[in-house]
Amino acid sequence: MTNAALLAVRNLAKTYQSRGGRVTGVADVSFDLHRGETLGLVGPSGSGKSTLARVLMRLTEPDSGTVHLDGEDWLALSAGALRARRGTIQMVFQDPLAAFNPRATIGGALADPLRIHAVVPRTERPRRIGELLERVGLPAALAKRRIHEVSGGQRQRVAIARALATNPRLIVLDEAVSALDVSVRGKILMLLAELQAREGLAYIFVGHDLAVVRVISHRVAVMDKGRIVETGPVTDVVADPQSETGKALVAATPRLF
Amino acid sequence: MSAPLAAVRGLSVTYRAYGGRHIALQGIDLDLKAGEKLAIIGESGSGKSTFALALAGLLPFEAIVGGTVDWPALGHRPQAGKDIGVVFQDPGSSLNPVLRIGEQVAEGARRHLGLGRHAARERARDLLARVRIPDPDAALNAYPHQFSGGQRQRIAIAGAIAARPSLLIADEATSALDTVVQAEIAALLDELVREDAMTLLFVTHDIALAATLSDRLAVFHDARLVEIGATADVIRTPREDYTRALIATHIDFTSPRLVGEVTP
Repeated sequence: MTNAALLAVRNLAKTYQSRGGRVTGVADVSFDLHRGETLGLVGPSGSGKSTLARVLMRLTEPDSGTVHLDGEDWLALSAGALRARRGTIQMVFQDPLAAFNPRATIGGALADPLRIHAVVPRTERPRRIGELLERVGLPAALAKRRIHEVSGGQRQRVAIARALATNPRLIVLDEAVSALDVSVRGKILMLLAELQAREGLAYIFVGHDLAVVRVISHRVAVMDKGRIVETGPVTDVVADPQSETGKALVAATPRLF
Repeated sequence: MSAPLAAVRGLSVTYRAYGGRHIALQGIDLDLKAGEKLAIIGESGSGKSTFALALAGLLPFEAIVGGTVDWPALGHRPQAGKDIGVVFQDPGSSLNPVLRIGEQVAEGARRHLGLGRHAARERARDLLARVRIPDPDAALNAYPHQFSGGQRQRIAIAGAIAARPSLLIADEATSALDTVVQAEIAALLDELVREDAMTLLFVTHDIALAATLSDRLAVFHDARLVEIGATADVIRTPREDYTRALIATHIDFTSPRLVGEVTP
């Protein structure tokens, strides 16, 4: 199975220097992620979820460990090779308003990655922007509107469309539905699941709400103090958590009935 | 039945925005019972936070307010900070980053209980112990940035209850915290309210969290009060379509999963 993994992470470690000494970001993190698979990532604040996401995006260089993407040494890519390959992993953030230039039109926001990553020739761009919007369930005509003119749910769909623009294999969803109203949240989760089923995308779904992580993930990794303390099929972990952190998370998730 | 703490009648709040007007609350009738835990739930733009600010007397001056709020159980108009303690979502914005914790928590006790410097400091230390800040003596001399988000929220709660208010308002007070810390803070609020016989107004977007902490539940939508009732009744037998939709879209451990059981 390891050979078939889209993403193979081994013994990843990163510490930060602070006044009080060295602080652990991630420690000895290893996992595989396959095509069409979602790995949920949960854990308390400061458990290393964001550091891990930043290392995978190559926004932070780890101290040690390896990351292979499609069999290729992702951390060894030179600056030039990385620039050419960066679009392979994309990220969607919690607050779509903070993730866009507020003055940009939706079409402009989607044209940027198409231009920067030279995905399609310039003359093709308007058609591709229309396609991207339709893939996330928005009308192509929305391209002319400005980011601040559309609703929070529509904005998060645009953020997903922008991530899709570079034909990624993996999207890191960092609390991507956490700020949405519940009525909108379910529709965005549905869209993510549909895109995955249709296009074989892999996701890393970083979330604080284990109930939400359960509906969208195949497997889950529970992190604490920089380490993965428990991993397995998400339904198993929710039904019978083995780690103290996993037990605490399940117990703390509020129940409606 | 005893007199309600607050009797809200026909409360409307309108903001002037970009030359037009934005109605944030419209015709709210609601009694806040003395000693109850009332949860206000709603989505963004429902008016739930405006309602909390209106009760606390903290609306911005440009807000146009209609209707009345009377305080029968209190017998006088409440003073924010004295009769009403408020805890907001972001403790970073309610704590002053350059003031020591001791001064900030003691401020309410000094101003509203008339305690001297020494007595107020004693009270601040006791309050920090009550909200379970480890080593409260050392914490008095520390600054907000030296604490985690959950601890900062505990400190903000200590400051909010320093003057022994009758009403504690928590406006999305646990929303920025991780699940485990959120549950701890919710349990702490419940305990403090019970021990001090305070009334709690708990504003949240999370209906499940509201259900775990409240006696009654009020559902707000589009600036209106949709329904209000005993929490168990509203959740089990909602009267309004909107409440039914909120409950149906809530995701918990029994919700249908959107992906297959095993990795493809």
